[in-house]
Amino acid sequence: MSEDVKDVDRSLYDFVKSEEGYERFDDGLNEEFVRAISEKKDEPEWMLELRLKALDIYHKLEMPANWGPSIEGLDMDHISTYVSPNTEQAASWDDVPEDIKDTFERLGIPEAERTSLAGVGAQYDSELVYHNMREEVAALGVVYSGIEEALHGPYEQMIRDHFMKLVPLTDHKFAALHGAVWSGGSFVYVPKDVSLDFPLQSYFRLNAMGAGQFEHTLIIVEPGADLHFIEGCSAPKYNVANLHAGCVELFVGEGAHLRYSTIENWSKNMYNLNTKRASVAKDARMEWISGSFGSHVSYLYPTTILKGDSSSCEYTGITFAGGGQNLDTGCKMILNGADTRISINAKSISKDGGASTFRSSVVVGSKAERARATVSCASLMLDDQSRSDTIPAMDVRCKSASVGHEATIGRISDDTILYLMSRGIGEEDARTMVVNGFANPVSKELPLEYAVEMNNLIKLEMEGAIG
Amino acid sequence: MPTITTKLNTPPAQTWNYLKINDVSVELPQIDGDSLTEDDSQLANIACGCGEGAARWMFQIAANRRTIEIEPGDSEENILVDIDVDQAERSCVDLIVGEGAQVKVLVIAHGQEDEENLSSALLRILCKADSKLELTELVSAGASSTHLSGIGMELEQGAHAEVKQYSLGAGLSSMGLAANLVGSNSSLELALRYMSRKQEKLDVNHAVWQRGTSTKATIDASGVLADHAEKNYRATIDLVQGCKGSAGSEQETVLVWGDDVINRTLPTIMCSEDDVAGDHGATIGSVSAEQIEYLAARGLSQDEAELLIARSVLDDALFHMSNETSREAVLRVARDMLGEEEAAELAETSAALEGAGSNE
Repeated sequence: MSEDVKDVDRSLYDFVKSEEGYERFDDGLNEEFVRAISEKKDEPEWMLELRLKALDIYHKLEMPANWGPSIEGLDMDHISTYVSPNTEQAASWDDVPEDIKDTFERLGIPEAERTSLAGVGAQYDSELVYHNMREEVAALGVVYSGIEEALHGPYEQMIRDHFMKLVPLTDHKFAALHGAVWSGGSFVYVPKDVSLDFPLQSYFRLNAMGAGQFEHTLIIVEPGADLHFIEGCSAPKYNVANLHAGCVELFVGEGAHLRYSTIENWSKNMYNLNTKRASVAKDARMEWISGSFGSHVSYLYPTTILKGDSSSCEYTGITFAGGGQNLDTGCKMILNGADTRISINAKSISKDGGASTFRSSVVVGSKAERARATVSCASLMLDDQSRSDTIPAMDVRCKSASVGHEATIGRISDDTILYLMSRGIGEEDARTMVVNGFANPVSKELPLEYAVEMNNLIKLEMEGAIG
Repeated sequence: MPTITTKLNTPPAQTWNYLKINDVSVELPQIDGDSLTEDDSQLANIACGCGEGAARWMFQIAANRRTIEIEPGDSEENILVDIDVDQAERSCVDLIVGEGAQVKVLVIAHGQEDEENLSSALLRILCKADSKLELTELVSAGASSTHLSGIGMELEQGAHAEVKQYSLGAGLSSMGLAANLVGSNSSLELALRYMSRKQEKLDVNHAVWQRGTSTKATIDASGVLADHAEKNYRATIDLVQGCKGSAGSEQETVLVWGDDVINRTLPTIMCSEDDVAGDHGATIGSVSAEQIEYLAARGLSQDEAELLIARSVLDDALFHMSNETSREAVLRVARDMLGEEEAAELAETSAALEGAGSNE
């Protein structure tokens, strides 16, 4: 393991490209900006109406005052809601402007596309700059495109039927903000009984200082189909706040399977107020794999609604909170169908004064006969300056349902470190090794390249953890 | 009388408001400003699980306030706080357990009238070094009554508290208990057992702060929800920075016995210290298929098994009641739920066990 990660350096994620020639809206939020975004995208009227309604809701809603990390440092008057690199979306990396292409090359996206992906979408600030899918996958009827692009084609009605239906505009303040100023993101449609052998991936890079990224991902997996979708994100670090308020809506049809994997490595000045939700039909299966490493503040709880009988969901997540980070992550599960199953396996690591909170809710409705839920969360404290909280809520209203929950908080035992050191392993490497082992349930669920990336991120975070 | 909506039982860490688990709202009679009494008790600053506002109200509204001080090294086994819910009695007791002293306290809130009575019991306790406290609390009242219980305790070095709470019924039984383990090697064993039926509502908040080194806390909650009962249970263990060598554990087991129950649970562990061990677990559901199979092999049907579990709550409560009023309060529930014959059998078994205990 250590041989694989030795070459990693922080400049992999933390580099800045010039914004010269970019279009950038003034900081702040008003109706004029919302209309301008809509006009730039030449949207149908219904979408503009949705945006304006969302803006109105945004102004009316408050953030909860009684829970969650502070977002006092986020001032919407100092956030630009739209920054465009002023380039056309390309289907070939050769047609992507050199500095943007270089960004994604450094992040390893084109390489991953060549070796292990069925398609890639790359977003830079507010706009997609690259989108492509293998021809053989397209031949199966799979659609993978920018969401704005799809709005101008035969899928407009489908998008209208699904867009912000799972995540209503009133869900919370930043869901409303997203509805008002969303830009970029992906639309995926997998026809009935089609299985993709390789994953699709969207990568979101926020380069602009003091800007927000508001991409929308809409995935519809028809009955019997199978998809693995990977989402990656990163940004260079600035000394002002950046904002990510994306939205992911997933519709998993009867008997279908969707795995949604995320490695989130936003810079540590980022407020990550993202919303993800899946609706799962009868006999269908949803999997969330989630690695949260970056951001200054995160509110991130993928939500799954098991509405079909015998549907199931697994959530596997890890959160690594270092100095200056307050990461509030977890998941929500709503079991409405009979014989539904869920499994939650969450890990968190806190060090250098970082704060990690695992927050979850498992709601079992009165019609979820024989539903089964297991929740397991483990937290690792690497010093006494950090904090780790576990706040799992359960609401069970069905007599025949069964819910089991367990959680532990502790530290790496001195005996373990001494054992490894007695075999010639340095203390820092020994601790990194234990943390990697702790994270293994998550990394083993990822494709190899991403598991390596996750281990690299752990290695980066663990540097200097001794002393 | 004008009322004011007051939120009770708010846990140290809250979560999504739409889950309706962060607190319970109760309409409380507003207290006239002119009749306010200064709370100059030396225990006035002890946090109670019901929350600061509710504790203040309970102090002011209490018709009966007393302070009990147990001298160092003394032993006192008969402290009784008796609340007649049918008479809407409200009481406040401050208890100081001297160094090395041992004390047993029984708090009972009992009633049977189906009327909208509001009673309360506020109990603030300081356990000085190496003292021992055994506290047993019972709530068993009429289906339309509301009983508010607020308990706060502070444990100094080496002090130990063993608390058993039983809630067997009330329109609303609100139980808030907070314990502050400030002294090193102090410890708390907290057990809650409940039986909620019909339209009854049980709302509990347990909050434990472990601040001293090598402190120990265990919270064990179990109970039965039948018919249309509603239960909110919050348990928080906060392992505060500096409490090195401490361990905290929460367990909850719920038998969902009704087709229309609401069962909310929020078991929270907060931690800002690395040299600690914290865990919690919860099991919620009916008797599982495997358990039914096991029991069937021994001649028990699912209904019989569930009844046995329900009966065990009453059995346990009865066994721990030390006076006639409290025993009768338990047996009244037993008669209503199990019938005269079973209740009599329960009483006999309990008496026999007690007798066996006294023979030892």
